[in-house]
Amino acid sequence: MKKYFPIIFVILALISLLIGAFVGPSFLHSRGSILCLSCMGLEENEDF
Amino acid sequence: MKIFKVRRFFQIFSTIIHNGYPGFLATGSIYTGYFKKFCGPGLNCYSCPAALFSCPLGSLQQIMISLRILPWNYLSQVFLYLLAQILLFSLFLGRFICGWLCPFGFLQELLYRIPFYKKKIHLPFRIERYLKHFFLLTFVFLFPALFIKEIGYGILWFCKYLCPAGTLEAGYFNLLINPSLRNKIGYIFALKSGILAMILLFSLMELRFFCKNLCPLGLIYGFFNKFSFLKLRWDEKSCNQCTLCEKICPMNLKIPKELNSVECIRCLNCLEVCPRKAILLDKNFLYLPERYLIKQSVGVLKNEKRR
Repeated sequence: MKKYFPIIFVILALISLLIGAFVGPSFLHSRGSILCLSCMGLEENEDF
Repeated sequence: MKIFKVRRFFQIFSTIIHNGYPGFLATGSIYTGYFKKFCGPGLNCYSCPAALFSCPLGSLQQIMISLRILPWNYLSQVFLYLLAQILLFSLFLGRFICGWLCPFGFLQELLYRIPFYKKKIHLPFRIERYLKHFFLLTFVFLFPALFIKEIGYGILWFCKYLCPAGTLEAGYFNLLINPSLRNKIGYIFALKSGILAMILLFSLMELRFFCKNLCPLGLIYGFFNKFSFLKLRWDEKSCNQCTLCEKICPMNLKIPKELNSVECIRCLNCLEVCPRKAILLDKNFLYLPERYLIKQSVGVLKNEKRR
């Protein structure tokens, strides 16, 4: 059974890709295309 | 050292592909084109001016910080899209990505080649082995979802407080090309610069210090090392217990016991150095039909003998 795990996971991944393909790319594009000040460590005056 | 040279070529090529947008030199801003819809396999900040792809860790945190703002059905679809990409990377390559494709791993290998005091870094109770588990659970998943700012979004904890790739690639490069950002430098930038300096210093002393102890992305890929199509196999009959493989392993693994463990980055140094070729590349998926055929033919032979 264990030897079929990779194939099962690939099928699951492909199904997930199909479900997420409608909104996922636009979300990633919108978040990845803005200059992320947090990533750079250039944000400092916020409260949390 | 044939594999070593091929691996070096892959690392250079992958670093160029991950950072394949020269347009930032003219525009002074980051890439916003088509490829940002996909994640790159390695740890490479998406706010780096030259970065072509989104970062899997950054994108995971982006989902976590949006949990209280965006609808669940929308976010679950986005999560599935991201999960699918990470799963496909993990299943086809596992931590081969760390050893062959990750730009930050490549940088650490280059740093280790600089002549410097070399020492393995250990913390009390060997907690360094579990730091990446802690960072994945808290800084990537829990804290971004739990600690919310006034506007409703959370904070990208790993990116903001720890990620050395972000500080180096996004922080310093953006400050270089965009002087207007320099007035935003504050104590968090100082903290992140300190963490980056420490990681770079430790990388001079110990090979792949960040990969071994801190990288949550490597941990995610490592979970799938056992199920990955690309696995290593030990041939007990051929092995003469020379331990050359253990000596050359950059992750200090006990081979063959930890051959397919979470930590193995598939650099294939062990495979290259073994004089008896006792470590082999077991291409799980591709070899399946062959094994099946062998089993079938053995079955046919047994049946013929019985007759």
